[in-house]
Amino acid sequence: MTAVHRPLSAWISYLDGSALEPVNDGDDRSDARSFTCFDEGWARTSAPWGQSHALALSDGTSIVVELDNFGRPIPVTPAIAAAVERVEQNWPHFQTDARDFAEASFSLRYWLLQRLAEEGAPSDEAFSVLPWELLDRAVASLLITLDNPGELGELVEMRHWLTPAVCGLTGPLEQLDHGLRTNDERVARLGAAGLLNNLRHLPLSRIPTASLGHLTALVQRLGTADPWLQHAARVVRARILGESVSLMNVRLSSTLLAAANDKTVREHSESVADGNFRLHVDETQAGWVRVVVEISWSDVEPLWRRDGMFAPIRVVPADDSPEQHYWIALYPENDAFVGAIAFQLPPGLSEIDGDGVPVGVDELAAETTEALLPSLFASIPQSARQWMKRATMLPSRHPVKAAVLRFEESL
Amino acid sequence: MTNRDGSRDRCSPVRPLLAGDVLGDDVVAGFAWRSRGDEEPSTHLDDKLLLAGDENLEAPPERLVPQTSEGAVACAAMPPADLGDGDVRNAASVDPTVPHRVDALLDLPGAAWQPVARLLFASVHATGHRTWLSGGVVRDVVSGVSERRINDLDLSGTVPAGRFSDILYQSLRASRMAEFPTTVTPGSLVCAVMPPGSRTRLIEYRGLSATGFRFPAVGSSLVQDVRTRDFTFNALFYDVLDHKIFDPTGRGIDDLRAAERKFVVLKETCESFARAEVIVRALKFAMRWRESRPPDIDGLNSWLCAGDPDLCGALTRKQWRSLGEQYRKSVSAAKEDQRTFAERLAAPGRQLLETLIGGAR
Repeated sequence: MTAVHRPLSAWISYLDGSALEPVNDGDDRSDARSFTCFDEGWARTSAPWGQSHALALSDGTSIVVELDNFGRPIPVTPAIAAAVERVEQNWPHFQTDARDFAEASFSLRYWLLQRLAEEGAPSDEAFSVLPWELLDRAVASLLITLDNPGELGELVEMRHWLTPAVCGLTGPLEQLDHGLRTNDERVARLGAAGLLNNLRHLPLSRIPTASLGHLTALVQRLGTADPWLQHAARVVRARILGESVSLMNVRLSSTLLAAANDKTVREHSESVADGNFRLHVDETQAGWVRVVVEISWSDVEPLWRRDGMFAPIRVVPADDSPEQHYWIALYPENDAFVGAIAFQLPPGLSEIDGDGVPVGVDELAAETTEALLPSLFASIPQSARQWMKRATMLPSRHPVKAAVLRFEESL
Repeated sequence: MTNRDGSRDRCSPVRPLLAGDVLGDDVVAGFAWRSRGDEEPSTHLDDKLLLAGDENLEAPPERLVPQTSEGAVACAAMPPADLGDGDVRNAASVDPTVPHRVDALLDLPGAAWQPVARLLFASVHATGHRTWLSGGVVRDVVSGVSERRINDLDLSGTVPAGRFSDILYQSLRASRMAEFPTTVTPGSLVCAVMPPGSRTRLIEYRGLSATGFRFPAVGSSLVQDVRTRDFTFNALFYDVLDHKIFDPTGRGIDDLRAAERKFVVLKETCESFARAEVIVRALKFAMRWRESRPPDIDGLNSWLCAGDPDLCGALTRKQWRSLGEQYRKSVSAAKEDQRTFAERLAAPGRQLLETLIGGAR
């Protein structure tokens, strides 16, 4: 949080003539940015390295070269090193023209914004330094692949380059791309679901407008291509564009009886719907709520096969109480997939959120048995049978299997 | 169907090139790594093939590694076939709970490695290479440490660093973890992966050690690898596909599980700093296990007596600084407990620890 010059990168090496000493003096697990030796007395510079220059610091007697994640000096031109120095003079306030870094290496741009974001509060515009063209190319490639079965778009590796601005965006995009590229339906489905689920909550303000426009097109494409993704895609699209959309959200109070203030038995029912998705809640006087999810069949064939589907439900108390998470196991009935759970509402006001993408048992593998058990105990018998049916095909270590075993033992 | 090493026939029919194979008239001596120097991430193109006779080169040669052993005479045994029969043990025969705890470790909900760990093992094996849990994680599981107290996965195997980076990244992509940065340390050839914005490693991989070169290299022999490790109890490998433990020294499991744990040093080196590091690590483990019976340190003392009696005098000021840093990071027990252990060591070790415990020079 000072204006001194210290490493941007986690790895440095002392320059000994024309040779580099071991990364971080041999301790490659350490972080050079926190080394006390850089607290004062260093100046930003560039050091000749091979045919070009490397980002460096000098204390008048020693030169330290900054390294990338493979131990290579981070290349700079003297002009880019001067631009880094200007940023450091005002650290952690970014008051430099982002175009000064247009020709900078991905490593430099990543480490500059990573440290700025950790140590200050850079404006959203500062993040335009990052290589957003990677995101644009990756999205364009995915649209080509989705629109033209059998034709693969360009392979774009976004890696961690955009994570100083937003985490949880490029991971699902690369997973979707990997699944489509390797014809692995499971991986592609997980990527698409992860993308939509994350875009419901991720901060978007650091993503350039043009890139958000490309993302919107991809989100819309996923929603029209797969009926299971339709509602979440509409929610995400509306969020990006600032439009309104029918949400699968219902606000409830656990104090229905007290509010009624009479002796009649009170119930409150409410339904919300968007396209083929419908959420219905019945609340009783004792604060119990029954949540029914119904997803009607569509004429559109889903992009990917599913092996069991579970609709995620979040119960978000209005106060600071922890959220509750349920998954409703869906089963076919008439022209729809339906499922229901019943549970006690937390005290006070709560919001029932059913906007998430329905998931398969693959997504539930990362949950604990304890996290899944409330869903089983809350399930109506038809939904509980779906849990048991799916569990029979799973290995014993899968948390769904373990939760079902514990549920059966308790009966 | 089982292979010669007892593993089930689930590996790729492709056999990679191993150190010890013969390519034309040359014996493959190992694999080095040198980044291409541009902005590209590390791939198999960074791996360099080392042949017998390359030992005196200053830097790795510009010689790419063939992806398979096609065209070579496959003389080398695929590990663990280089070990004796008694050195490969069913994990359940050591402790029936170990296979279950290893499965629980890999599938641990909430662990950062959980989405990718099994896929990574499967992806490596699909190339014909092998990778296993190694070092600290095997020591901890075999000695009964709860999987919830294990913070990262150490891996070892036959894959050169660049190709491992390839496989790792593809596995991360498939697991929604492409945002996790990966690294290769040039001086050690350790490949690592960490969460975005963090330097805490969740997986570390290093190929089997190969010595005799003037730059870092990896090979294909478990027996050769353990000569570079510190103690027998840290020279264990765990095959997660077959639930077998490799114990190349033949005594690592017993030394670890003995009522009085045995500190037997493997590192064959005359280099003062490397020997001093082993002593600091001995203190680290002695303090970690100080609630157990005092360890049997006969092996450690024999090793100390065989080295330079003036170990402290041979260390440079910079090396003392580095040792002091290692000591501060790895040992936090009461000074009295540390001194009790130090007093049991032969003179070079005792003097070194007394200096560190009393304050680094």
